[in-house]
Amino acid sequence: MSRSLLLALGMLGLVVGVALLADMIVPESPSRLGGVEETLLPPGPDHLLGTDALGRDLLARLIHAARTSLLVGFASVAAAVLLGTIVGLAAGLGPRWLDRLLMGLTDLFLSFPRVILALLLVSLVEPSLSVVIVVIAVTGWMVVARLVRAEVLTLREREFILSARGLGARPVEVVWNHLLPHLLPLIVVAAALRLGNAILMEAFLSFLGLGAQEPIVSWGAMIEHGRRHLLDGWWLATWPGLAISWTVVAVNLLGDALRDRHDAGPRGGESHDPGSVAER
Amino acid sequence: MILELGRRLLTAVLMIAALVTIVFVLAHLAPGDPADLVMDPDMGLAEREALRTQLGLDASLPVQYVRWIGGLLTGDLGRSLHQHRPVSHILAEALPRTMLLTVPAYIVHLIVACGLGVLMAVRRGTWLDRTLNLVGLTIYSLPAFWLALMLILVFSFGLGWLPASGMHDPDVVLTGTSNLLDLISHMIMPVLVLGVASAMGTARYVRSGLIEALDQEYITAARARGVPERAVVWRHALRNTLLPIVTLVGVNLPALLGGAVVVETVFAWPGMGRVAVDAIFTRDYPVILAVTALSGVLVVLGNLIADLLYGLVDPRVRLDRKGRS
Repeated sequence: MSRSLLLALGMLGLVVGVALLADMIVPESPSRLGGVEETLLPPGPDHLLGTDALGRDLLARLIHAARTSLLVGFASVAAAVLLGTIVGLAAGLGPRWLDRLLMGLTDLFLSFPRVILALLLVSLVEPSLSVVIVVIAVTGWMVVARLVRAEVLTLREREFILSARGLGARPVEVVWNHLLPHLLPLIVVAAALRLGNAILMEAFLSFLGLGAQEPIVSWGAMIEHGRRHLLDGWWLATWPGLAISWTVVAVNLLGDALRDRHDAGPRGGESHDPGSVAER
Repeated sequence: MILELGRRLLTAVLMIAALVTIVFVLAHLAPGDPADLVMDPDMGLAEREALRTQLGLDASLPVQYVRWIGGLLTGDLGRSLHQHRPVSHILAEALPRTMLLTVPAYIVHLIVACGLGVLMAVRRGTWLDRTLNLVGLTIYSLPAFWLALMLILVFSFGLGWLPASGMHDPDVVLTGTSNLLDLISHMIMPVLVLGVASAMGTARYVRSGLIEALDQEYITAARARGVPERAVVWRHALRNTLLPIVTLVGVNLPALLGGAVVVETVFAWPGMGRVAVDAIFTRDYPVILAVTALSGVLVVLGNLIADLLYGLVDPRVRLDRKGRS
């Protein structure tokens, strides 16, 4: 295992561990309000990371928010990858008109700025955790669809696929037993590379107040709260941002390391969508 | 060639048509009546109906759609429900302001990306390459809206060097050079966040492209002729690496526009992104529709232009030989 893979797994493992054990590390509710004398306390011995304007302990909130971030990240990427794989398989294996239709649709989705499309979708319904997951999935499947389709187009002419077909395997069997095992590394790498973007997207939507609503704690919403207290409490916005950065660095390192390991997925700068400040 | 150009244009037009239709359908799937937003709750039924007629909301959806498309073609984007003025005026005001951020940001983006990419390619495999890679990945992973807030915290509130938000200082009336300097001081942080934060993606393209180019025979030939290494890298190899970067302008356009949403929100910059976010919070459908459609159209056009440029710049790539991607 390469050093960067170990580093990535260690960093991510810490976040996952904290998220899983949140209730044991911080038994009291992260929404517990403090007294007046407890508001906007700077980091100190009683509250290691300080308190916010409602006297809530920032460390407790930070730890519980890790759950939201990871839940949305993993769930939305899983959904996006599933959707992308289905579209890619259908385009690569289906008749020519279906291929053209699906790839046209993919290009169409790619030509909307992702943030604007996500904002449009979120604005149509009441914001909630599940809406955010769906929206990130719906705006994030296109790259996977293209990758899977391209790979299927080369794989389907290979001998092992042709012979499986020649032996009378049903299409479902060909896909399940022969194609998917070959696609899996590609899909895993693509998923890891999407995960960072998904977490950043969730944070931005929550920052705008369009993500999970109270009492669900999220890093993005914590930053929004901190934004209103930049002058009298610098620590409010600082910690959740550092937490997001830590998590996303871990995830992106993991994606890079996995790609190098499997030599799969897009090369060079394509590993991330180039220039996508948009997706944070 | 002409035929191919025609096909490309037709595809772009079809894309735009599909895009605009999707936006329209999506916006009208939303629950709730947009008319409620502009109505006074005390309004009588007759007045309500009059208002609905005035806003064109009494017609059936297909009729509204045809009207809207007709309006788009003639440059009439409807009226904002919230700001009570034509949407086209709002956009005409906001789009140049967004360009004022995105164009310099893209230049910064390219300069940083090329500099980093060349440095990493020349020193490939060394500690410098690995360190820059890690630093770049870290910067790439920061949430842009948070980075913007931290810059405000340090440079506006801490050091007091730069203004925290807006386009102009509202307290003083400035003219001429000082006015321009004021504008520039407001631009520095948004442009940097928009341009630098994303540069690592492109820097990786430059790095891998340049490494590939440096292995080519013409480079060996140039070195054998005694061309200095600096000239080999910057003049011979980089020139061929930059060609694919040209097409990235098209690929980057959605990201830049999306980035503008983030940056304009935090820095209170009155451009397209802010218009979009404000419209979403006030459920101002004509504006949401127009902004989404416009950004889609810009992206399709950007891709078309990048494709054509690529064909022009690189004689090896003729339009007709490019396969489906």
